[in-house]
Amino acid sequence: MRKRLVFTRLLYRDIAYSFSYSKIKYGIFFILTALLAAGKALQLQEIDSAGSVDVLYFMLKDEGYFLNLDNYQVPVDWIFFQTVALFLLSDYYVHDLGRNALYVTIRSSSKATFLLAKLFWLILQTAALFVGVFLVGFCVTGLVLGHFSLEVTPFYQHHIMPMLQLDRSPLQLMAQLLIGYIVTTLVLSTAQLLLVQFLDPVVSFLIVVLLLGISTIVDSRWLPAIHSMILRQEIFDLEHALSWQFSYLYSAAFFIVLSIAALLVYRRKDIL
Amino acid sequence: MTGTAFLEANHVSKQIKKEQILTDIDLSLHKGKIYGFRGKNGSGKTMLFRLLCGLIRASKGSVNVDGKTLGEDISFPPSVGVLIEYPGFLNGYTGFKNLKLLAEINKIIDDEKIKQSIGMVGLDPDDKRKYRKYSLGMKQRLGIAQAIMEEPELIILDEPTNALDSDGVEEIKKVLLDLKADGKCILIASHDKEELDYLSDEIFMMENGKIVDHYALEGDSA
Repeated sequence: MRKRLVFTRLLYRDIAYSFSYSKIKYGIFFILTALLAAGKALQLQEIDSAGSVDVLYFMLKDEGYFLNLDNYQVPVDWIFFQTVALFLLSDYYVHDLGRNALYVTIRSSSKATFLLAKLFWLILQTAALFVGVFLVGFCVTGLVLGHFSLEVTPFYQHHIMPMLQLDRSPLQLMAQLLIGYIVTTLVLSTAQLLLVQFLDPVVSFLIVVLLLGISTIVDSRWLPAIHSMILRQEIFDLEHALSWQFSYLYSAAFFIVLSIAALLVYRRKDIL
Repeated sequence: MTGTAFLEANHVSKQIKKEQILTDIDLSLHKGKIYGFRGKNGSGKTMLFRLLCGLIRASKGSVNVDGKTLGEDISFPPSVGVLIEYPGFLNGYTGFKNLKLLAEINKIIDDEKIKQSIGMVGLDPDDKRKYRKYSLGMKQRLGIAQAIMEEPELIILDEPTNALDSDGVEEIKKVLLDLKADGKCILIASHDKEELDYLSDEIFMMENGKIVDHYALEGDSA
């Protein structure tokens, strides 16, 4: 009973502390997201009559599979959102583990509860971050394009639907894109949380970013970041048959394994 | 000293990555006393404090708090207040709000008690200034308030008078002596011999992770 109470209080503390600690960084991130969305909206408007879904799709998609290095294109926006999200999330927990673990764990009397609260915070924060990206993108593009809609637009009909291998409504496409980003970032961020137990935070971050970068080159469903690459999912590519069921189950299993490993390591770790 | 010790370290050693940090430390500490730990930087004072708080595990030996063994019966001392390095207080919060965020974890004290602790260390509990506006001395005082606000039985302070002016040092000395009179077991690390001698009942001299000297002051038998 006490452990559950302490867990709830620690989770509340993480939410309150991280909001105050990171609000300026998140503010800058969302301003950049808004600018990027506005730029994409203006760009697409010149091609065809577009809506918010089209803009969000173009802003958050990857570059798909490639056959050889000559036709490799760097998915700049995809890397930007993934990397910045990982930075924002780890920036807080690295700070809190380094500066406050001593004062918080002594009060909670449990290292495991302290880290468990961090893992739940990570789930909530990751979801909130990408829901924020979608909301900002939706609102800004709605303002730029002059209409707020999740309906099929001429742009969707002419430029997205022909690429779809499976029938998907704009809303379903958005949901899959959003969940893909959330699960991928959650897995990578938890991997980083495990790595910071052994390595310098900067080195841990670089390793995770490297893992992210490899996913743009290597065609393997076992790489965690690949599951947020919408063009590599079966809805756009039946040949590789990467289904959302596999993506979500694999990511959930990976997240659970990493979380358990992080908890076990942290329980035995000295707080220096 | 007679009676059961509140905090005992029995032949405690700590090794980190093949480096010997602490070697064969024996302590027997009682409530209602102040224990001073003196030694150069890197002598092992802070590491010993971390070990006594349960933050690091002993490679050899054991630590008992109130009859319970750390790492076996309990993970952390059940009632401990600590100041080792500045806590990561939020720049955008007032001193009170920062302490409240920590106090909310256990919820054993109310707002009045938090304010009382802030007042005890010479800060204004109703000060609306954000933490970022605090001077180094004010930050140090808030750190001490954080350590004592929940009225812990065991208080561990690493260089508590760092960054304080002479008035501040006197105020904190008085607070510590009052806490001692209340029956707390207080451990202080400091470079300042004069300050430690004034406050402490017993002094432990540390060098290279070992206690190289131990003596009682003011007629107290060690």
